[in-house]
Amino acid sequence: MCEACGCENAQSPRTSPPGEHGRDHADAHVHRHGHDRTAIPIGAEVLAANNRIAETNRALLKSKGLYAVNIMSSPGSGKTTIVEYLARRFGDAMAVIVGDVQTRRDAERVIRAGSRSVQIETNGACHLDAHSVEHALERLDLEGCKLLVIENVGNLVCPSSYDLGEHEKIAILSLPEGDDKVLKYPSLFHRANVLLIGKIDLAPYMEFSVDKAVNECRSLNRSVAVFRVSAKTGEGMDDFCGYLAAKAGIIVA
Amino acid sequence: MHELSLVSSMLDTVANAMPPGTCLAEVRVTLGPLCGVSPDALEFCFIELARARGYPAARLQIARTNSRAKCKSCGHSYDLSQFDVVCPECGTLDRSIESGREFTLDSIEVEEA
Repeated sequence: MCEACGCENAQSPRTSPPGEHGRDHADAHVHRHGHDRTAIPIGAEVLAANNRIAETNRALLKSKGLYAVNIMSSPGSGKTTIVEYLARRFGDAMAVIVGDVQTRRDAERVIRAGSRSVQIETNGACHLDAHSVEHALERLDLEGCKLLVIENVGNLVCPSSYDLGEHEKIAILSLPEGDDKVLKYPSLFHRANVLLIGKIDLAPYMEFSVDKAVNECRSLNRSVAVFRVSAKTGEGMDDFCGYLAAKAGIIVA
Repeated sequence: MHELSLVSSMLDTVANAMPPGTCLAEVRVTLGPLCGVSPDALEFCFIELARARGYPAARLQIARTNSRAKCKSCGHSYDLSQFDVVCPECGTLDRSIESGREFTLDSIEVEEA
């Protein structure tokens, strides 16, 4: 292998000492690559392919009259428990795409709670991308649905970089995670349209300042809508469900 | 480690741009400080994945840019390198970010194989 460019075409013997390699490189090998470099401009966003597919997803959702949200938070912060609550409330008016590294557990929970759902198993990837959502949409019967919930892989870092074609991003910060997380993971909270302070029923047992977390989030992102919720006790969930129903045009009986 | 999938998508674009019969010498990218990509992780993934795709000598050149923000409280424009840099005029964080999220594949350099 050529030590200068690494290509597999170099046929020894080399005729120049290693130190001079490159200076008379064209003569140094039997093969002729000469090391004349050609620059080729590209000038593309690395995520351009993802963003194109995200726009296609958004157009598809719009054509079907669906409002889509992308829920992002840490593992164990209560995403699926909140989505189960929404499934009991909205039933067939909602469809859910759930992302996890492995298992179909969350989709099964959502289906048991009353909404249709498909699982994306990322097999190692730490986030969903627009392409995986595009294929999940092919597997979902969206007839009669008004609201699409995409439950992202539990992770406060990577999911925030990927547009999936959603209309709004929802971040959950639950009390056991600590009130200092907003500025530790600012990219996600900066882009969130909605902040859910989750597991609010644990407030008596946690040293979590809701004001601090909300103020830090508002400092990054003044227009964020905030709901304090517990999917276990139902506290705050009427308001959050009302918000989603209004956005998606769901008429709640 | 979403850098691995970013590098993978980058190398797909590179493969399409390379003329036949050339080998890849260099890939040039620009990273904004708020794009959520770690330069170290990007470089690590690049070395591994470039080798696996048959470009063992390809190098990654990373150009870093500044992020520019406009304060929503007082209107001051300022540079920031991280999300938690407050407005130097009024000390608030709420601002519109005008640049700094970019992550672009600018150009490649190839050599005749």
